[in-house]
Amino acid sequence: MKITSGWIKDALRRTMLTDGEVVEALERAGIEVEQVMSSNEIDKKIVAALVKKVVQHPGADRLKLVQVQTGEGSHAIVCGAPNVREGMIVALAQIGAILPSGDRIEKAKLRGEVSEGMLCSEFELELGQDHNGIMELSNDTPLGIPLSEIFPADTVIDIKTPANRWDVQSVVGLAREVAAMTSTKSIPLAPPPVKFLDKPGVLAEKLAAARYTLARVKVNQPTHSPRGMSARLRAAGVRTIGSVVDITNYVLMETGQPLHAFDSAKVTLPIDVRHAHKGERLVTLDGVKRTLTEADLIIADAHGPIALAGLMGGQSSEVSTETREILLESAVFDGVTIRKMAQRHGLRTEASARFERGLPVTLPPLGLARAIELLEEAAGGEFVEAFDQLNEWPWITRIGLPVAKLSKLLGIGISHKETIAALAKLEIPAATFDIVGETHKLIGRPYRFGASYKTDRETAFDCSYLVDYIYSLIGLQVGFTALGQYEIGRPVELDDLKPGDALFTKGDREDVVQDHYFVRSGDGSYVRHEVKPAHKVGHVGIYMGDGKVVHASPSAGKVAEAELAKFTEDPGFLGARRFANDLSDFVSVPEVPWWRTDLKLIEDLAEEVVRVIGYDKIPATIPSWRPRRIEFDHLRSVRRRLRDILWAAGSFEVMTYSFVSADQLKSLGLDTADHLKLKNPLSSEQAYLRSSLLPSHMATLERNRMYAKAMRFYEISGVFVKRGKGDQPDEPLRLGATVLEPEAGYRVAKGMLDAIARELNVELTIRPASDAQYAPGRYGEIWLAGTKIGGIGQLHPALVRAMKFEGEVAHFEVDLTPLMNAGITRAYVPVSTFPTMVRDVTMLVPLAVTWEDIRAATANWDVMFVSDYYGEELPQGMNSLTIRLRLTLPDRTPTEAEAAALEESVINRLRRKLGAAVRG
Amino acid sequence: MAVDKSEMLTSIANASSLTELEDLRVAYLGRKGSVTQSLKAIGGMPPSERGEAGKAANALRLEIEAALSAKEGELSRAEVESALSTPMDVTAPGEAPRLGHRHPVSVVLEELVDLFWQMGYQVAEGPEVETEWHNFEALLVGKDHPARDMQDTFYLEEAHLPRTHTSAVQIRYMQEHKGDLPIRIVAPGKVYRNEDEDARHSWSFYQIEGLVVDQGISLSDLKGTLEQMMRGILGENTKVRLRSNYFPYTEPSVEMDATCVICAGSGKLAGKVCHLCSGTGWLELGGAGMVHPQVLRNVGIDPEIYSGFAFGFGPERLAAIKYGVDDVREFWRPNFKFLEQF
Repeated sequence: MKITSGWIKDALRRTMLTDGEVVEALERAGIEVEQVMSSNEIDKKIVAALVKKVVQHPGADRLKLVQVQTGEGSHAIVCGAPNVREGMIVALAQIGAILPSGDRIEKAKLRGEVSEGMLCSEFELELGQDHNGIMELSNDTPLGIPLSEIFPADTVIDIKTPANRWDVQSVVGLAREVAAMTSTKSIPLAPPPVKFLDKPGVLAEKLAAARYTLARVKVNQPTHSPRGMSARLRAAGVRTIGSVVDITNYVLMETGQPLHAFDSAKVTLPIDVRHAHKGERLVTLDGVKRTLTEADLIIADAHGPIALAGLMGGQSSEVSTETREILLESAVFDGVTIRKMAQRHGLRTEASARFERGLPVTLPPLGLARAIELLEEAAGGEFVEAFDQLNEWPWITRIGLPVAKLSKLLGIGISHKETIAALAKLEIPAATFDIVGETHKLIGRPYRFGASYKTDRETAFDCSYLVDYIYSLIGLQVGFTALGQYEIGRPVELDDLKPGDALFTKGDREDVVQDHYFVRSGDGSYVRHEVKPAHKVGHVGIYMGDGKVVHASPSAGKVAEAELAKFTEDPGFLGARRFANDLSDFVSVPEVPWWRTDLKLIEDLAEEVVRVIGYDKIPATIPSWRPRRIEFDHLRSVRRRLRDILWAAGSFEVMTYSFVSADQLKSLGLDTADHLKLKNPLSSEQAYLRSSLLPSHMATLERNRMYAKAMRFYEISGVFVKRGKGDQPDEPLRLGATVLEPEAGYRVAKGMLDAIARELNVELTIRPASDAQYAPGRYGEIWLAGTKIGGIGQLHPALVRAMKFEGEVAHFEVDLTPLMNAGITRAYVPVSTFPTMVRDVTMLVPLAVTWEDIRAATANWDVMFVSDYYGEELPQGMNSLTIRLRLTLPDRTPTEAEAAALEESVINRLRRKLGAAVRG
Repeated sequence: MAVDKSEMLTSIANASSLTELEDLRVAYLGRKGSVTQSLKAIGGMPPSERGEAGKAANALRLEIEAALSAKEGELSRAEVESALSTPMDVTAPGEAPRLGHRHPVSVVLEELVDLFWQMGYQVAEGPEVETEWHNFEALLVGKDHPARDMQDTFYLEEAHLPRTHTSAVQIRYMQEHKGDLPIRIVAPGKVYRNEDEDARHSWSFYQIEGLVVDQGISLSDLKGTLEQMMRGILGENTKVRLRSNYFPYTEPSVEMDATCVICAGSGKLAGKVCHLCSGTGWLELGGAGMVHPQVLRNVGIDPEIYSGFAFGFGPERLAAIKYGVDDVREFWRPNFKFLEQF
């Protein structure tokens, strides 16, 4: 929202604040200032001039020769604007004037004709967006007056207001905030109140609006708005159209109440507010033909829809220069409905932005009155009549603020006086709660059984409503009936009685409810509580101290004072109850200002207090910490260790997006049906939740194709594995690593995996398997004990070639949580001081035999892999494998004979178990 | 066996390398060496001759040993000198191990975790695909709450949503630990917002969020915690400023600013407007507030007994500030030319 500083200052008593002070006050109030732009002063050589004569340029079809007159003389101007006409008052940039763009106006010849200046458009003067023609000034503008006097420089503040505050989407509300943060006060808007008539046939029965007010106002030929008004609107980014519409927009910005003006000649009463019938049509002011649905809230006249409620009017009832009488609407529509309509129609308007936050029903008459006042001042308006339908009860909110609790919450000692003063800065009336004083005020008010706030306010009471009312002044819900109050309150002994305690008797009435009562909950609904066993609580009074009680007395027929003994000695005396431990601690806010719909709880008021006293006044403390037990985070350390290993292995750590495209999945042979899909993706590139890191890693490779011929990178991230329909997915934490090497990419990836297994001291086994993304025979599942935790493989060369890469790409991906949990501390093996005997043996082994098979078969010995070799010269179905046997003894150097015996044992074992042969 | 002493000494003197010298040592003093042999031969002599011959042989051995040792010293000195005579540029690059590169955001995240560990916080994590209840309703953002627009949300086709903030983790943690209060956690994790990207916003990013729930937790505790935390993250002289703000799930709610790390809060740098804070002297770093009593109630914690505060901020923003990165999208691209700098 954009607003000029000058407009805000106009609503303040002390207007000497600098723009900087206004901005600072707004920021301290919690209104985010996104940008501050000062509109520059318009050059004094740009003045108002009258167009006296317009003739065609002899040498150019599109140009005209214009004679304009300022106060001092006339000038010849060559002008290309299509809208120039005799009699209009325009902005003339005289020779030497400098436009906001920095261009200087010089005397010029255009197609042979002299031009002594230029006529300016709104756009050229940075006063608006219109650059289709020259700007027209209102016809009462004095000739020769500098434009800078008509459009004074002002500072435009671009703000973002909190979503729970409808009221600061208005100049009045912003001024209140500035006043609260500075030493000034805001000036309330006080237009003459509108008198509403009760006349049938104007408004339909029961409109679908919390409140709907409508005024009939005669208007003169609507002309241009007053200068200040249009300048402010333009600065706020609102297009200026004509005085009537401009005034409605001005009042919207000023009060936060959206208004709409219908041409009354084009409307057939009665006005209805209802949901559209499916298929009804409406052409809105933007010229769009809209087909409506039942979800659309509309304004209709006798013939059908005339406006989309809260969003935009219809063309059929549009105000024009011919309009002589308007119907001015000022209403409250349901915020949620408007918000959804705005989304559905793609129509986010200034009006909808205000309705969305939920306007109070107190607002429409104020907005209406202000608009009428301005129409009368500036558009020849003449009020005729007005109507009002109120369909929602204007609840008032009362809050009691226990100051001790406030101090505790803020962590600062704060007094009653300071609390009340801070609230007063925000125009929130507050006082220390005096239950005796408040109750005494009501003595003498008539008794009426069944009295309630809605029906009687403070005019009549019954016994339980009196208690309910008094406690409502500090926002406490004590129950609506004597039975409820008796059940809710905490029992108190008579010798401990304090002013404010309630005293109960069975009473004389027989018709009281005995088995249940209701309590109003936070969301406004009523919760029924059963009373078992049922019993009768018929009368209640409030103890005032000094042996006196005040009660709404049926026998006296009014609120009266009585002796305590009248209750305690009553044979039906039931006891005393207390609703709050320390009533004197309460600051009572008996009526939250109607515009502060966001204030409901103690915590809300606490924030208001701290906002005014300032966060800089809050001390800084560090909370003490007495945990019951410490949960140590070992896995995080393991995760860091993994990162270190992969870093040492020369690998880049990457972060990639979790959402991938259907193409990415399909190119890897993955089924989109196995993936969760977004309902509203930003683009098809990010429509699916990945179930593996591989697609993102392939994209990473492609993105970095020019980087190097060999690359290694890894990522640690959760992925999304679909479960049952509608279930939250599993989100295993994965480690994925990708390697590109000119050759032997798999070996490098496997080496990284081996290093991880070694460092974490876990036993990982690879089981050869197949997988669509990987080359046949070049993929294995990664197993940890009896659990498959991932896979490793060389990407299919076809895939790599399709990505236009040379070399081998390998990838492995493992579930990290089981891996990290499996890590065990390495056990030390005593080091022998004697030399190790080493023998290398080269064997032929069947192709189907894997290294893991060899390792398993020789698990009792110290056997290492040296190299393997595959070649056509080898016997068919065999490959060559060189292994290294190592023999170390704890107490002596092994003998040659022992080494030879070991070699033989290993060879024999491999020959017998796996069909290996020594290579001759 | 005749031994020619002068020939031996000449050979030793003429030896040109340590290997050659070693060969001579073996030839003279080795097990089968000529000097050794001549010593052995003494045993076969008549006892009367032994004394004299033995003396002479031993003297010879000692002389040869001394000559060998002197020559060895000479040769090894020469060899060392010769090895050092080749010129070398000590400033030339060494043979670097091929190390990888850590992601700047993960570096910052781990630094943050370390800081919070030192402050007694435990790290909590939660699912990235959340229920609407955990992500919104429990945090008082109802279906029709205007604040849902503040966090444009992705939705999954069937049900649930990629979480829009890590606050959802708070809800889960509080539900699980409500019988085990107090709570003091930080929750780092990825979050998702359905909004167009620009240099300062990415639709997927990390958040780190803190939560403290205990008896008597106050706004001053929040302020003190934020001050210490920011001092730990940005440096000793960092100051913190709180401004009022609105979040549905905290009351009061604040915006947290810290003094600019570049201009130290002056707003000016070498006489010019500081580019990082645009001259304000402050950096907007995150939001915080006292946990709304209804949020506590929603997870089964009694707000009459317990209170708490929460705060959250963006590790990417911190990383961007720390490393001077002016486009947060760089963190996600992955571009190795960018990442290799870390």
